Amino acid sequence: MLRFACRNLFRRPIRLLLAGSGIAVSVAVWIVLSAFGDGYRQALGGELQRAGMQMMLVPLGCPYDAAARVLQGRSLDISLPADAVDAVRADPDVAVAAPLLMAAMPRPSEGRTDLWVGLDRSALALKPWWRARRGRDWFDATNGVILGAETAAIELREPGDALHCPGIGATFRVEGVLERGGTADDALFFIPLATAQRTFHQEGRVTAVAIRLRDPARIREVAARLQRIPGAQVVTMTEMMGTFLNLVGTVRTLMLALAVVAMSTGVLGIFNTLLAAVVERTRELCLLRALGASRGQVFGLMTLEAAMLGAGGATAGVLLAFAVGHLVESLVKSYVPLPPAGSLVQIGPGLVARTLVLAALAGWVAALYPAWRASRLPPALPSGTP
Amino acid sequence: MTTGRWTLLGVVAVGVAAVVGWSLGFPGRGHRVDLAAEPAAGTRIESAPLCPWRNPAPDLAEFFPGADESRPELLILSGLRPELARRLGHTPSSDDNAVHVQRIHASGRPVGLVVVRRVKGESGAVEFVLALETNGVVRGLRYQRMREPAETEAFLVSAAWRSAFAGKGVHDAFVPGRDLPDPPAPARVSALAVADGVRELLVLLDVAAGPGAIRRPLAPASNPAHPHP
Repeated sequence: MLRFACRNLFRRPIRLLLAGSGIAVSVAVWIVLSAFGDGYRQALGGELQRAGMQMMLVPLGCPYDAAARVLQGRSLDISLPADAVDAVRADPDVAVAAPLLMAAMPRPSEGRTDLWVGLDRSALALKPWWRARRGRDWFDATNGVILGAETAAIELREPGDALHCPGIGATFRVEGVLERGGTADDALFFIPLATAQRTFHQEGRVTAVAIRLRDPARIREVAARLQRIPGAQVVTMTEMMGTFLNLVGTVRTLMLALAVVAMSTGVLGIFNTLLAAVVERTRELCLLRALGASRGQVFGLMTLEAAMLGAGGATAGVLLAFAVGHLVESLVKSYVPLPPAGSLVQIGPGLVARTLVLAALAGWVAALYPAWRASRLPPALPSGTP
Repeated sequence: MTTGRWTLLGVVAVGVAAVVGWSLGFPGRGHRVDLAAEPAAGTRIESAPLCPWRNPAPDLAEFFPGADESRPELLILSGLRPELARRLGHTPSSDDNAVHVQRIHASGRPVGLVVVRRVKGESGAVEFVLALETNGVVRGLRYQRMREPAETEAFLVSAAWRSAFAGKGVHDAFVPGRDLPDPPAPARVSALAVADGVRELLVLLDVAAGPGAIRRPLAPASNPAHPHP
């Protein structure tokens, strides 16, 4: 029966190709979007975990924009007074409050922006991964600088080397190079907080305060208290991740709707293909019935053809998804907030299996009516039937 | 329709809904993050990223005004390390195993080539672009990036220093103060680094022109571009 079904399918190769292409495209879209959503969620969660904090105190303004900029090591146009740090540290539920001062030093003629971060020792409590690959892991001198792994590699710096900041005319001494962490920190220049405040003319100011709580369960109460600090606002990492995921989720839902439409079109294509086949092959199916084929066998033949069509289209769709996955990722990544580093499209066997099952089911459903019609044909046609 | 058909339709509908729900990942795929968890260990990457040709247009305009095409090519020299060590005077670095060159064409005719190099300056990396004639003689030098103090930068970008490289080949000497302008004391380290970098590039290209090197044309899109922090 398999060979017979196969031969029937290939009788109309162009129609077969068009119907299969519809399924393939819809399956590819489905897989890529699902894989992107999963990968984005995992990567964003990983980045926020490595940030080592549960909330952040930032200047008034858009809290999510501020928090995203801080996480990515970008500077803010506004800052907090240093007494905001004291107010945070005075809260009994706060375990660690690490002030950060960030400054961006653009060099438009060279097409780059250096990102400098001033921090004090309290930041180490939030960065358990902070380890020097070479040299010291903390500053010995006020003009010391510790480099992220990527920065050190690009600037060809080793501990003991000088490092000049052309924008402000200051020269630092490299004290250490950090282990690569896979985060935005790899591309930063770290200096002591007091040095940063003096160098960037921000005495007594900080860009943000990263906060870790003694008991994360009390996050709401603490956030409500810290929210009362003048000129400051609190954003929790959970809120931040939820916000970004909601934004991505909205886009994903819209695109999944498109994928459902594409899938429906594919199903209708199978339906149309099989229904046309039943009409075309009425005489042949009647002959089959006259030769002793049962209704169940005719029904099985038609659903087998549909399953083969669905499986072929779905397999092509999976291959297409692997081929264009990274292209789609780079396209979508440019529109999503806080894109985490690394690949966001992770096409796993589970996702492929789910999609193949869904495609096979869709093909089977599309075949039900044509197969039922085929099975109802009589063993012999009335005389005069064309 | 008969009761049997309605039942069949209901079963099919429930089955479809179940599979669609499973495919969409419901339930149990919330996005909770354990903020207290230890982060994963980082990946150790020691080698420096490739130095890209960051801004081709002004470089071509200065050195090859009529050029209309650059064809990237990879020269693989890893099989020639003994000769490289002898010619360079030191053990070749990992960067010396392969050289990315851009073969410049004007109206389909080769007019020269461009190579880029990152060297260790006194106060940070210095990236320069070296333009060469088709016979391997230097046509000119431009900088892509540097973070040197003002006095050093002024010397390195001076016409006197840059033009001193023009016309030099692999058999010429590159000693500042003798074959090249004498740099002021604060600029000496970086100037030496640039001079050595130019000489080493010429040696690498000369070795690549001999037997044993592998030339591999690259697609234009594979010109490496690397975002700088």
